[in-house]
Amino acid sequence: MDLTVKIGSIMMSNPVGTASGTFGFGEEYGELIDLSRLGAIYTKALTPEARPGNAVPRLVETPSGILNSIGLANPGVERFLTEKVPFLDTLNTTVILNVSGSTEDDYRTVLEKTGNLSCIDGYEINISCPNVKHGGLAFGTDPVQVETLTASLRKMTQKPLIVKLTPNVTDISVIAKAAEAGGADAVSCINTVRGMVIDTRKRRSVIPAGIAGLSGPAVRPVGVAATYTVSRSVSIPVIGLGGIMCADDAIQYLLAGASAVQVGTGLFVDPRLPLKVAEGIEDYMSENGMEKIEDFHGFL
Amino acid sequence: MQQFFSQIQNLNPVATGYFRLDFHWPIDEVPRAGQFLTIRVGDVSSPLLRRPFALSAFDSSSRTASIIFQKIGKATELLSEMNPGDPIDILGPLGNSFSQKVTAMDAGKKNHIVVAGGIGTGPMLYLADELKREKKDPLLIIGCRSEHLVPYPALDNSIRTIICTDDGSAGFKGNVVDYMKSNPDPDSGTVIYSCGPKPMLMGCQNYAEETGKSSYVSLEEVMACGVGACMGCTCETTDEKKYARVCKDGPVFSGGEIKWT
Repeated sequence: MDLTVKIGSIMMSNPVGTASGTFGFGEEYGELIDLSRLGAIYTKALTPEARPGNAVPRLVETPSGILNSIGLANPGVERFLTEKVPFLDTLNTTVILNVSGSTEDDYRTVLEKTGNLSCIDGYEINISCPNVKHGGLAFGTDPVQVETLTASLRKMTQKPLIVKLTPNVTDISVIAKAAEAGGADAVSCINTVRGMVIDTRKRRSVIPAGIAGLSGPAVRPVGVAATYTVSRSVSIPVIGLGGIMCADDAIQYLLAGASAVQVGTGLFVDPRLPLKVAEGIEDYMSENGMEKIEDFHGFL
Repeated sequence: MQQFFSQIQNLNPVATGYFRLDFHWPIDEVPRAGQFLTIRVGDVSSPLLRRPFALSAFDSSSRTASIIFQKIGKATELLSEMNPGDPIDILGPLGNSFSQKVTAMDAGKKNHIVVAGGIGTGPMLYLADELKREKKDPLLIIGCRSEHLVPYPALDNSIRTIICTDDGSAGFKGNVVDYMKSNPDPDSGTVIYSCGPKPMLMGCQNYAEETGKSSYVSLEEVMACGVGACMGCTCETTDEKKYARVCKDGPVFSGGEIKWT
């Protein structure tokens, strides 16, 4: 049985990775799980400058989900190079650097400064964060900007480019095609869904920024549908995520057309979840006579 | 830190709506006062997140750890309905401890006041116990709204304890800061440790500043990962980084580090 997955030029040992924003830069979970057993680590979003993040509170639990407004808090590329890279250099795991910014130059700056790092196997381009005022989601909802940005970054690196899509659009396949046209090696879908929780006693949003990003089991059907739609619109691999809490959830994404998956919010419930999901996928393949991940495709 | 399963040994009420939960601690790492753990309550998607609880006691001979929790939501309601023998999924010990955070100079001082408010009582009982074992004779001040919320069964009679109630139904009538102001400690070298509602922490910090004392606080915040990865449980700080992670950089901070607004 072969659980490897090819995304662009890189080969992941299995299809299960950790979703950006939920796993830091890997070190935080290093005491809890064997990182070498992960298919990939998709890091926290990195921007050129350090970002403190949004005002608190940043989190509120919702029915079967979490609403977050972290605001791309990250150390910035210079501190990333000195504080995070030494640890990433020790890993025997695929590392995909999630990159975000407010302008095209922001994305280019991060790629320029990290392009020579051997510990970075590829990039996930975050054009879909709902929690920043400029850039982020603004890029992700305009197909022209998506294609232009992707093409610009494509010229800068031979490493795989994965464009992370937002579900907060009318037709996600249009954006996916734009990423493919720009030269993306894969797309990941979905980022968080716009949501809001109101404190009825105080008569204001619980999250100071107002609308925030919903993740967790509540959004899984949205993610599976997006994966199903996108995988029929593009020829490049689709990485599915959103609300994966067990192997069966991940298998839904694979059957919908995903080549790989990411576990995010589920990590907060069980840090071992990505490893359990990978084992569950292997069991399912064994029980159903599947030899490789591509065998999941074509049923729907 | 580790993720491990344990079994509930005892679960008893200690005040109206407050429970003490004792469980076996099977791992080598000994949790210190101020540290916390997260518990997954139930195997369902609601409540979804693990819940953080501060350690309120640790018996090294029997390897028994304890938490005190208040039944205030679905997760704590489910927890309150569990029984001895039931398994619990634990992640811990998490965060820093008072012993890690307090400077050597402050640790060597003579007078130590441990201030607890409401559910903040749990970690402060453990801290008072640690200080007692270090022969520091702490003064424990517990603030509650009313006597029925005072966790009498969890208190150690050998520790000097002052009860403050808002309604005067037990002990000093007023809050913990009122008590400290009414009974001034002349020693500017006194160290004040506090855990409880943010206005209480701010009051303790202001009092410490006004009287030249050292102040340490233990913060509470809604958490997701509990290990410092998600940046969800931040607090505002006075340094250039602007925010710190309560779960990883804290939960214990020196009072001057926090932006009290």
